[in-house]
Amino acid sequence: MKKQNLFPLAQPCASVGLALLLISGAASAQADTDRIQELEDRIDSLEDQLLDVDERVGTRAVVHAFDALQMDFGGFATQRVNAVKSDAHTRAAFDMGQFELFLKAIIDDDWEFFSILEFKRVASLNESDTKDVQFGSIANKADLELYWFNYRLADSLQFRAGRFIAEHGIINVEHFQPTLLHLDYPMFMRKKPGSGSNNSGSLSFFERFMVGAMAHGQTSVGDDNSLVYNAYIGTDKQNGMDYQSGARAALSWGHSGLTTGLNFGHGNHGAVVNGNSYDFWGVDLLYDKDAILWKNELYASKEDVGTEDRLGWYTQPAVRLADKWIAFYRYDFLDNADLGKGDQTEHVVGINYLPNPLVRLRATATQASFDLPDDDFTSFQLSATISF
Amino acid sequence: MKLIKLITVLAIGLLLSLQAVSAGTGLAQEKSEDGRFAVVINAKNEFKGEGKDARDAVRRLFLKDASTWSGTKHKAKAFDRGAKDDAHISFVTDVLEMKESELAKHWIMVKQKSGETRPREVDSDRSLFKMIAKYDGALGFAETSSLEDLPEGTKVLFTFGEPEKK
Repeated sequence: MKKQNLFPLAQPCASVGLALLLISGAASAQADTDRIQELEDRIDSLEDQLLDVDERVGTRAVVHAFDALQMDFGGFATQRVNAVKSDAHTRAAFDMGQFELFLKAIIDDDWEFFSILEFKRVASLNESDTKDVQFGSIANKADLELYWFNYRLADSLQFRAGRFIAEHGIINVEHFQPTLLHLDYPMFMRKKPGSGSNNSGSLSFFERFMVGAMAHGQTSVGDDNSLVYNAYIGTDKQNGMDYQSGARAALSWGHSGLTTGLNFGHGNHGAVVNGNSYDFWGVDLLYDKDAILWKNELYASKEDVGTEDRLGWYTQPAVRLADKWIAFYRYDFLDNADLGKGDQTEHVVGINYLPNPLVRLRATATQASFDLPDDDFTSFQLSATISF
Repeated sequence: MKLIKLITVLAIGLLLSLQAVSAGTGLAQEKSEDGRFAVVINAKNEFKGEGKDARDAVRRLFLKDASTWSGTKHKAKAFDRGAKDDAHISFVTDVLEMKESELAKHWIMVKQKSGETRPREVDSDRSLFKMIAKYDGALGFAETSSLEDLPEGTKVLFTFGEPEKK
């Protein structure tokens, strides 16, 4: 007689149960393995961070700000060698060495302080005799180039007081050497009326630095456009009563790379040009997209008395040949009225090499021409700037 | 008959194991359909922007062209990833729409003009998420596959980057 199976489903059920037990055990073991692996990864990550901190700090003392939430240091250094060929002589000099130290303190979300200390050795190029252009004596300069505190009411309205950059145009806003393709500013920024000096300094079309107060901000306009604006009043001449006031608005057109700016202001030449006051205005156009970087600025002044109106402009197209190479050309024009040399022009060609984004090496050639007398000279510059 | 039973048992077992495996990885698969990386912000951030608005806001805040989240009082605090991290590389290309060299120039420019520093780099996802949970205006980005570790107090604003090819 065949033995009857009283529990026909017992065997399959037991098999399923066993299978589930095995699967669940395997899954649990896998989960434990994953968890251990995750913990090991986290320990590795923490050890890396600890080693990184230890490498940076080690047994050295850690600097604390007395009261600021955050304090940052940075700066840059530049060295230039310059060879100038005029009719009479060819002269060469290590004519400029500069080191600047940045310090930024954040007091809270709304208040911050920024300053730049400048140390400079410079032999200014003297163009008084265009047939024999020569370098002046080395002058040492230590200056509190910038110091300002800033209060942020909103991104659209902030207030700044102290010594700050007069934010006109393109190059004066960028201003510092780590970003400059050519160390010499355009002529309207660096040439003084009534002076043969090529030295960058005050009494150009507008004061490049102001001691005073500025309201500034930025806001979105339309879908993608960005509007940046400022208005200021201040002085930076020997006579603290010679005020300059001005304003600028610049619109960046979406992601097109195009920025257009309008500038105007009122200033006073002080004792240099018979206490003459003047108005100035300017337009600028920047195209910065992909391989093309094209800067254009035009400034004009209307002088009250003692000198003629002035006009200065440049166009500076540049091509990014690769991430590390930039080639550029600049045509620069200046009618500086009473300089006694008529119109001046400069053709500059150059190339920049950035082996690292924080290191900029430049080679430039400049052909400078004067109307009165009809002279010109050529200069060749090599320079390096390292930023940190 | 025995063969049928055996097949049934194996089929049930296989089904259960597949379900168990897929349950663990479901989130990652779902997220990576949108983009390989995600911008993560603090959960208290009431910023309402979506799509292009959200991308533009993150771009401006990360580059420090703006300091406050639009429509809120939260001061932005952006975090970056290491320069060789895929998330950083994709963020620079897709969200900032820049090249690495342009970004480097931007930070030099910002440093000179206002003394601002570039966002701090955070290597670990967990550390990043904890920092974001700590600051109301914080923002950072990570691979969507790591979002399983997303702690309370954080949320995803948008995803970006091509999904990883399998």
